[in-house]
Amino acid sequence: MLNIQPFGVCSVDGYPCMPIPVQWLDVLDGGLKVSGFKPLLDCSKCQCAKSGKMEIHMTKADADNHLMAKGIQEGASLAKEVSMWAFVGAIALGTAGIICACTGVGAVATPFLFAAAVECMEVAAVSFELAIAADAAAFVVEPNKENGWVVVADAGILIGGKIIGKGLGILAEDLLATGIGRKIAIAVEDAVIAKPRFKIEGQREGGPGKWTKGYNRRGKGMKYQFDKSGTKSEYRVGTIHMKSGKKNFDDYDPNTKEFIDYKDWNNGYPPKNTRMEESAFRDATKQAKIAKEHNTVTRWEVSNEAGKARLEELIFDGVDKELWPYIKVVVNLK
Amino acid sequence: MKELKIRAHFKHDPLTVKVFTEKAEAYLKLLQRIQPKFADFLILQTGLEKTPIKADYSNFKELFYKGCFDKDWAYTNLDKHGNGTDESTGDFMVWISNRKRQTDDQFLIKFSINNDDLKNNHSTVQIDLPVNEDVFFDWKFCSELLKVTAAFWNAEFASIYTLDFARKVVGKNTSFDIGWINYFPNQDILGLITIKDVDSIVQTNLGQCIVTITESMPDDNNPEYVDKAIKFRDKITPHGLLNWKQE
Repeated sequence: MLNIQPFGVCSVDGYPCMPIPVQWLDVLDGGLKVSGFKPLLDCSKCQCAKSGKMEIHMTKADADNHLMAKGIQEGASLAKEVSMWAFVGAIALGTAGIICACTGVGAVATPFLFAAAVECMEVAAVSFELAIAADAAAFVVEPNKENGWVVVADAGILIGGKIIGKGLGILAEDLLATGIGRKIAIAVEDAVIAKPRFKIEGQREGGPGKWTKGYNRRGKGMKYQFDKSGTKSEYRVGTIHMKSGKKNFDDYDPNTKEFIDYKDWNNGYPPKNTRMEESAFRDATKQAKIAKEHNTVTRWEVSNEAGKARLEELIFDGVDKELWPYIKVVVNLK
Repeated sequence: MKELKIRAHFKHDPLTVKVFTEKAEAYLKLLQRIQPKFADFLILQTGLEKTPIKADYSNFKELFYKGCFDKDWAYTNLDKHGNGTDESTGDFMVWISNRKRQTDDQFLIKFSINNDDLKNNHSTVQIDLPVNEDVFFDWKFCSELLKVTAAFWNAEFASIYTLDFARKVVGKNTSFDIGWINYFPNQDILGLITIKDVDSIVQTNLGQCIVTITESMPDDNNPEYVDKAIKFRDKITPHGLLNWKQE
């Protein structure tokens, strides 16, 4: 099997992802074939025998949004667990500007290279893969058109020249010309170095709550939470302070045992004396009380020092001093 | 001018929404007697709603009652009909201001009521004063407002401060932080400090003490003023005057 390697945990069986592509659908009809196979289109889909579905997206953002929209938290969380192989593939996808995403119940989602995702074809040429890695590295260091094309060519050879059609080549050229390909490559590189996370529904990770399906929210805040935690799942704890008897946090740190809430707030937010500020006071107070109830800390993570200073001021101003030990603000630059 | 804040810390048995609403109305009327500007166009600012309170308070109970409840928080014995006679308890956070717009320079009154325990819950009432209203930047007015507020809520401690100043003098292992003017509910402090330590110590008829670090307007960046406050803090902290009383 080529280009589709295990780089996540399958939520169906809990083992490392070993996708079993069944058949590509919605491929180009007609007589045109590449190495005997029908070329893929951007609407092509491929079912995984374990019930996931692979789809093609032109950018990583599209793929992320698609995953979020479908509420596929498993795939989303595992998207960051990209293997070295995916890294190589990611560079190629950065070049080609195409991301394949695998969605669906039990799906393993990974951005991986090309539109390809071609089933079967065992290529055991390890040395050749290393050569690709070298080419890919050259692309990262110097992401110019020439290096990008080398990776495209490598990948094209690697997959037996099955997929890369003329149209795709033009697309890749256009993307490189606009720099989008480079941005995608960098984004995927970030994902590659991300710490592996698990966050499987039902898991407690040694804490007082357990991972559960997140609320079906949308918007910028949800996107930020997703980007930071790598999942749409949330960590749910029981509490006497909420009407529902439970409270969902964006994330949980099993090392520090802290509840995490990601705040997509920049300089000066929330503005003073507004209902947003009042709402933040309420959040801070309640989350600190819930942390106290569980003998831990709620950690608000923001993206810069100005945001941290504003929230620290807010807590100082509006949260009872007895609750200060139970809430803190940190900057998360990841 | 920096924004002056008044905060009173008080202890109470579980406070029902009915009693809290009545107390809040009485407190607002008291404030208006001290300074008529507190009567300017009151707005209940809670959650996502900003609702005007009528000058005759005819809609106060209904609005305030609704404003007390957060949709997600837990309450006991919740009467969903909301007729103002509810005995529900729980945490109440209600803001009242006369800020029609965010940029308005007006006052903001923040009630923060905790009801976690069967008795001796710790709560606060805070007023953020307008920055550019000279009438509010007067030691005599401020000390009177502090005294009235603290007495009304039966506070264990209350102070007037600016945020920057409070952050410079914040103490460890204390429940309260001292400010420019400080209220103590009894005369315990008299044996701990002298007039050399502060600018003034005023005893009220009812035996409370108002301790002022400096009677001139507070300056966050004046090291002398900050040092004086820190020394005052360190003198009284070991005696538990900045902590809740143990029952």
